[in-house]
Amino acid sequence: MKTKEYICVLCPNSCTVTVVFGNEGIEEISGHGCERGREWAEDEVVRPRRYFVGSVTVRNGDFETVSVKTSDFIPLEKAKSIGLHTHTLCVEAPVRMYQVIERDILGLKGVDLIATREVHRKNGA
Amino acid sequence: MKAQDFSYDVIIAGGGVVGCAIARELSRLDLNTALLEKEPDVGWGASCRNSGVVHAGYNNTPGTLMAKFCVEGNQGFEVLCAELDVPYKKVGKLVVADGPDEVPALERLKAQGETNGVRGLEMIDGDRVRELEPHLEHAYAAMYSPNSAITSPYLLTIALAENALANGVDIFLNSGVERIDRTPSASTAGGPEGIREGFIVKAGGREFRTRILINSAGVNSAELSRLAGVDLYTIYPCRGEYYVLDTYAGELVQHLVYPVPKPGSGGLGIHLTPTVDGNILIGPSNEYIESAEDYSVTAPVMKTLSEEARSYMPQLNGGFYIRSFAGMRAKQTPPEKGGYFDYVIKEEETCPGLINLVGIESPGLTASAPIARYVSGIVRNIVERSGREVCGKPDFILKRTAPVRFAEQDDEVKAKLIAGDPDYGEIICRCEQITKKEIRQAIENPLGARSLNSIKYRSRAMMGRCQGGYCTQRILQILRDEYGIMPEEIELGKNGSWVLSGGRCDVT
Amino acid sequence: MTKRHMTDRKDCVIIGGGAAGLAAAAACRENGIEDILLIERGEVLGGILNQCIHDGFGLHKFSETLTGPEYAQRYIDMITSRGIPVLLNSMVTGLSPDKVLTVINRGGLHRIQARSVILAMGSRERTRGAIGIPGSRGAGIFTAGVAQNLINMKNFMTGRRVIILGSGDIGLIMARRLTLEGAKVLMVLEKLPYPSGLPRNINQCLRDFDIPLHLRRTVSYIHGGGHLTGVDIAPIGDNGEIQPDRAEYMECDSLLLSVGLIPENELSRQAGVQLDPVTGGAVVDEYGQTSVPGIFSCGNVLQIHDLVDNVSLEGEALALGVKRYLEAGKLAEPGIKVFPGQNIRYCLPQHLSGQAPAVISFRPSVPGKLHTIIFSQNGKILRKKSLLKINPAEMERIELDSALLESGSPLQVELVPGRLQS
Repeated sequence: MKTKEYICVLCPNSCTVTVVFGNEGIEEISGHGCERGREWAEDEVVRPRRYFVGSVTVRNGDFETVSVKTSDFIPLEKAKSIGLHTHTLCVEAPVRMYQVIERDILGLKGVDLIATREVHRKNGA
Repeated sequence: MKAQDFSYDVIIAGGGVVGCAIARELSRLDLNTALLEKEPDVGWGASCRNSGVVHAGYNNTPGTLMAKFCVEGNQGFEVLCAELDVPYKKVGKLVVADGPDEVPALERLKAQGETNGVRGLEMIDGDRVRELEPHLEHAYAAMYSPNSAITSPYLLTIALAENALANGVDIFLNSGVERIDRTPSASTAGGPEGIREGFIVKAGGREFRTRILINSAGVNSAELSRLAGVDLYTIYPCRGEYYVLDTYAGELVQHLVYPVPKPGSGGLGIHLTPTVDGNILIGPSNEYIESAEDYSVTAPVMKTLSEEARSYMPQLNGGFYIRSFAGMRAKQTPPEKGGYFDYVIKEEETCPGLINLVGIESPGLTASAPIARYVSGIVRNIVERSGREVCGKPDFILKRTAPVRFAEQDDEVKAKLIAGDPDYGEIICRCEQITKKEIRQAIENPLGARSLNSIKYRSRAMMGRCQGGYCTQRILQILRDEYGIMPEEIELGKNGSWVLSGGRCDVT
Repeated sequence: MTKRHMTDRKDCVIIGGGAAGLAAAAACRENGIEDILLIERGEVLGGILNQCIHDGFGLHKFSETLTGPEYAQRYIDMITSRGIPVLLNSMVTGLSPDKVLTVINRGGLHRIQARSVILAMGSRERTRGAIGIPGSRGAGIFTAGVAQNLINMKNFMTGRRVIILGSGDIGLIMARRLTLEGAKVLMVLEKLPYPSGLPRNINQCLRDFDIPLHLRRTVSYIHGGGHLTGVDIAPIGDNGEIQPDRAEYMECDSLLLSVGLIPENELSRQAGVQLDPVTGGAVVDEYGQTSVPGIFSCGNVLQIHDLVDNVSLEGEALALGVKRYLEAGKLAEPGIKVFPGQNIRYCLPQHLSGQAPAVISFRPSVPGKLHTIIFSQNGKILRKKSLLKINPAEMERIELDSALLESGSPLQVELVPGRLQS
């Protein structure tokens, strides 16, 4: 039987949620302040999910890169591959806030890679 | 005036302050001269790793070359710096006695100085010390040396090299001497009749020929001499570590402040040295080590430096420290002896045409111009021995101008500079107020040195309290975007000191 | 950047267009201060938020988790919609005690006489040189923020095998960032017996990627002449002494330092602003006014923050004081000195007048579980609050009803273990 403590990231309460689990699955969850937090903690044990954040190269922009994030959670185990995948991407300026850089990133249906800033076109470009 | 077949009358091996001073001095004459430097820039040995002090000359044994050249160098230094547009401040030095038992040592120093021809030395009491330096609470008395001064040793080395270059000396960086052979003079281009032998020097992938070889290789001078077949010398590397203090501490010390020297220690003791840029240096320490290339700083020494500094002046606390560095003395005296031997500056009888400079430690910076004149005299003798006349160049360019230091100008001048070139309006180094214009000038320097340290020494960027925290990324971007230098090609200093592993997207 | 910004008089000049300056500017305009100028040295507003591409910002302020650039954009939109004049690419190089600013940009050198000034210049990172790590000074050593800028903003990569010294948030964030960009982060070292960064970051930056965190460890020696080749990692004894003879060597080609931020108060010094040696920032009253009347301070230049939401709150709170100052020509004298007591590393403001709402921000000096924060004057408790846990890495902000304050008596602030019974 393992016990793990997680600090929930869903809201400012930052509840410390304790999950007791074994080979048969989750035994007990306690410490959560709401139902969303309980579900989140469950996911943390079974299939942790995160937002991915990274950068994508911009062509002809007043910035070299545009910061990006996924539009939804992705499986934690895919994070590194998405990181390396961004090395193959390039977007032409101008870039709008929340512009979709790539749909269904790495085959994850419904999860897009979106810009988290605007990038203007470089002067004279 | 590059000799296409790399044949010269004189080759200087070693581009420190002395080698560059010799290059400048020889560039006054109608000789083909080249300077070889093993590092990617001049001055990266002891020349950029010292206190920058222009010593008055009371600390050297009378009758030695050290004493003679120090006093002569000190007296001519202001003019030299004016010619080369290099900073110079005559701040004066206090050699401080903590109690009456140290006063006789001060009096001996004063007497020695006067014997050497040093002017203005004065014994002063504790109260007068505190008029000059209010924070020296424990000072009992001092010897005051009004002619002791400070300069920027790396800017001086660079200035000497640039002036030598402008006057026709060929400068080869990344050209450490690998091999020296002798050759009959018939194969040396432009060689005069009568001298039987010259040198073939392999360096930096080239084969150079020269009749006269000057060894100004500093801590490597014994080794270079051995390569030339003269195995007479041993150099014992003796490392000195320093702390650099924030310019906020600069107001605490206005003069050079030294303790009374303890004889036999091989060094001058730990000093407080203001720099021309407003920092304070604490150090150097004194440690004989194995490797001449080990410029590491060490925990025990850093602890000693900070404790000793605080014992002079409790206000010098760790919050002011911004950096440590180390330099290497080229000592001829072994650890068990300590102390000094006099400079060896001579043409070797067993190897005519080889002029060795061995053991040029402190006061080498101060003595650099007189040493250069002395060596120039030796060179003239050698050339004239063969029946050839040596003349001065009528078009010798005496003055060299440095790029304008924006931060030092008043507001009106700053406004004019920006109006003339908007790159002066873009501040890249926040701490030292260094502009994009100065960064570009540093990158585009006449010697073609391109490392970050080369930019740092010339512009002063990255030398402030944030140590490159704001400007490094901007300078790297400028190098890539405006000069087309690939990220992995950019080096911090020495060859192989890559700064970036590549572009972000290069990782697969 | 047009000519009309080069006026020589302004009611309120804000130095720094990062999180603090943006919030202060927006709030000042909202509170009716018309004649404002926001001066920023970078090409865009947002300051350090531009390179903080990770999320976790805005949980308190906007009840969402935003990335740094998104958080900055919320405020940039306020600046734009309120028509607040901004000078970009402009460095303030001088600030005199009578509030004359010298500003330099490609357009020239400009002088501005301000009636009030808000200092929002942020901070710089503590460097290798300042903490005196022995060894060589080869290439490959960066402070974490510089590495962050190089990777996120300039598209460079700094190294392949990385060791991070310091478990502060920047170091933790970079551990994850480097891993996601394909580098191997070998470990994070922390000299204290507990991590310095937020627990959320320990989880999402280290645990998620199996990056070990070694407490009570530091780098005792750096190897490599031209470029870093490896480091000696030494334990730290109970007395806080580094034990280099028990060090172990670890090969690496990149060392990132996350060893603290220092408020960048050079302009404040020029203006004669009194600084607090513990915070590194200005001594202020509850208005955020410094020892120089009309000069205010907020954000990292005042005290190093861990949550940008608090930076915004601190910046916004200045609007009241600036407005009162501009109307009245001065603010009430701060006669109540604030004394940080048991378990408090520092608290701000350092003194109060009692004439305005006060928010006391403080940091505990040790981590712990249940504690009670007590504000008292002359032994009389004015306010107490239970805190379930305390952590030096997490700043606390507690409101104090200024009506309760007695003028002339010092205010004691202490953090007492357990729950205090009334």
